[in-house]
Amino acid sequence: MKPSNVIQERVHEFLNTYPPFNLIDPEKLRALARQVRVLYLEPEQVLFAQGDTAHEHFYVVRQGSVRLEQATEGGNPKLLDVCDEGDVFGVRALIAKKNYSSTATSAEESLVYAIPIVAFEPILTENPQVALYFAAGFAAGQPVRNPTLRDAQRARVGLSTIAPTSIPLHLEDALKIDTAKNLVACPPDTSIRLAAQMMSDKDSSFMMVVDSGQRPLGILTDTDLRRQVVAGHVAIDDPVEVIMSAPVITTVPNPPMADALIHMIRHKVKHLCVTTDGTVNSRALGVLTEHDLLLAQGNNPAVLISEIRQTRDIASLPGIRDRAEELLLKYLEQEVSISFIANIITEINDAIIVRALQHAEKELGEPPVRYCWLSLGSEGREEQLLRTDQDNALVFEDKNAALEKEHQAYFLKLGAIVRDILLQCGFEKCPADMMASNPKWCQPLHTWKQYFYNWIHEPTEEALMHTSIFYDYRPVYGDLSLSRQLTDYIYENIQQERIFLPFLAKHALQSPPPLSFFRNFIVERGGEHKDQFDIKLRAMTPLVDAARVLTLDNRIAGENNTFKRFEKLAELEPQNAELYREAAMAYEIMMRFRALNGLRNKNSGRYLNPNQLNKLERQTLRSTFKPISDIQELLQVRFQLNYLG
Amino acid sequence: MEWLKELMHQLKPADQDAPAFWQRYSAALKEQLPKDTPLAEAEFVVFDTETTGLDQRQDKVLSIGAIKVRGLQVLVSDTFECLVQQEGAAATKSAEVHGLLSKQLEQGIPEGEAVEGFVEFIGNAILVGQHVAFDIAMVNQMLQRQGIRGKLRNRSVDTAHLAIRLERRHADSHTLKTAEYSLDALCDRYNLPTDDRHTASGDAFATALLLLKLLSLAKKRGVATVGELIK
Repeated sequence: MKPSNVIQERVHEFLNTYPPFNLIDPEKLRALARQVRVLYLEPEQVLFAQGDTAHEHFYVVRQGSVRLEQATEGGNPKLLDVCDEGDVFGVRALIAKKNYSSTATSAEESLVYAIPIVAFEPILTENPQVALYFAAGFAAGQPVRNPTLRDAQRARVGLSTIAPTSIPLHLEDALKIDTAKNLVACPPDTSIRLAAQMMSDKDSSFMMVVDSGQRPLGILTDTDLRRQVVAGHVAIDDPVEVIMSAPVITTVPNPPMADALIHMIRHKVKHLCVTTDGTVNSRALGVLTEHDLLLAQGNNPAVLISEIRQTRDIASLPGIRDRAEELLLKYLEQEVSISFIANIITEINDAIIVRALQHAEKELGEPPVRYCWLSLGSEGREEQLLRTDQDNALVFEDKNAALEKEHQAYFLKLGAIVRDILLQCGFEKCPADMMASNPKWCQPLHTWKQYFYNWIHEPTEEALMHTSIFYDYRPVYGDLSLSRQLTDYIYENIQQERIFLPFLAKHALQSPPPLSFFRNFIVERGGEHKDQFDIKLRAMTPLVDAARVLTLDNRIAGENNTFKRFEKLAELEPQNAELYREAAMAYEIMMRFRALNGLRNKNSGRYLNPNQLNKLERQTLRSTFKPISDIQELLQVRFQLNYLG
Repeated sequence: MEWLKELMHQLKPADQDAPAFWQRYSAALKEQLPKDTPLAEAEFVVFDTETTGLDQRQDKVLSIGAIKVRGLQVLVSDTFECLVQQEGAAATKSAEVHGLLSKQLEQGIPEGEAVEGFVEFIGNAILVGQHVAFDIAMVNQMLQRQGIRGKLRNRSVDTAHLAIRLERRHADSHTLKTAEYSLDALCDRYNLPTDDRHTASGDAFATALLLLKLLSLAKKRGVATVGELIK
């Protein structure tokens, strides 16, 4: 083949800056570049019209911009997208081989590269990454039959790791442990002396206690030995079953590391027994220790959490929390699943809150009555990745009405101590003062019931705002039955008040998602431009709000987390399952974007600057806007909001 | 007068001794598109030469870059590019501008081969260039050195002239600033990408994009056919 000349090389270089062309093998891309045609479009020139037979080319904007619009029954064309430099459009000819489903008009003077489909098709069939790019609907105005955000996510992950820097840490890979030499076990009637001898001989930190069928009955760890035997609580010749911990926390063989980790954190154990089927009713095969995970993983969240739990010095908490942030960055870079990351970060934050409360109780003396600490907002939903504002509240027991003021005074002091510790750990104070240190949000159960009663039965704008903040509460510490009582009360009232849910649904529609990105601007549905994107308000809150109201409508209680809510909804409404899964996926993608943006700019990550996003990131984000507007449409129809003033 | 020149040429017997490529070229030129051909159906070759200087008799061509425009589209697949071997060319000032070092020029092809390739490439297309008369004269000079009796007789369009004509419908030569009609100035004014200027191919590509823009402007001014464009 002839070598490329200067002109062809120039075209090649341009294409090579943009996806999907940068995924094509250089020699093949050069050959493709040689076949490009350049078109000049004057302003408002129509390149193809809706219904036109597909051209033999698809297009890439070289300079200028092109609008894609679809005719509507109302007559006004609906803007689908605005393509700028590097955007690919008109791919219906390539993918579906059908007539154009939209009209492409240049919005200004533009130069457009036409890529011959005949030359591109072989690349599409033999290059899975390129195929994925189109399958994921990254090209502008692409009619995706089933909007496949999952593909988009896969594609984004696949495409963005083209230049991997570090060796990935396969958190989600199965964790292999050598079960043969690893199992140190004895029957329950073995003496503690013998067990200790065996552990020391095998240099093991544990002894598994098994029955005659090798099924795990309990576990004896070196810590147990130290605590019980050395302290003289038991005799050295007593059988091990006296001091073993039971039941044993078990796992399946080769569990995903993430699961193993969460198991350990949840149950506060350092050993997991591996059994044939993952339950205590099958043969023990080996033991997975925290140390195994540590070796496999370096900076370990379980270690961070146990440091938080064990530290005597409250001043060391900020340092530990900063290390959690490094962990977060590492996880994000390595594309660890968002739900796993959110889980870990929530556990870490909860541990800090609990530690702070324990510290405060020690300072102030025993609390006068039982209480429960509630996390609100994103922390309440277990989806806070970055340290944003504190949102919390406190509910205490209705006991003695006469002493209520006194009790409140104690809990306000408690709230203030916790607030200050959290502040030192990098959690800003809530600007709207929604914290347990505020008398308004530090109340006995009956007052909280009254609050919710008013909000539900008189859904004013302010009431709805409060509901959306306070409704997603999650008990973190204290007497969980107080939180349960409040939840039951709220459900009862919501069932009775028919007007509440439609109002809440209407509230969820307050900010429609934008349409697209254009250069350094956000394209709004109305066609105007904005230069910074409030990802929280414009994309995440609408999904959070929608998930909340739909969950309530389905009478699901006790699920706060947005993607878990969508998962649950998908089970309950199979007809909308696809949409709900899309929405959950969109939400995860946005959480990741926000966290990365926040780490990048050392702030809350809430405001995205479009010119800090690369083409692929913009296209990924754009693909998340669609499920938001679809969900909003669903709310509109379900709650008949057109009839609501 | 053009029609008369053309007629005279056609009546002249073909030069039997001329090389085969020149005979093919002469034959192709006999079949010119009618003047009422719409611009969208015309074929253009946009080209540029880099030379040792601006003297049409003394200076020599160092490189040629050319690209076809058909159906109002720039065809990246139809390009011609060559470096020309010229002795002593490196000593000139122009070499600095074009960045063509003597070493590169040694890698070029002999002048005869270059001009033959170019003539084969253009066929009977309309030649387009920024100050195209100079580039045509330079090619003619190359032909002459190859012992060919005859010159390029393609129709031609000078993008600078066309821009002046379209922008200034009542041209007033006194107020005309030539600097405003340089390729750089025009690309800038029409917001066209200008990477890689100052190589023959780079300039030809930029000029081709400029041509698309000017053809669109011409359409608005009621210039719709080949005849109206080249007049």
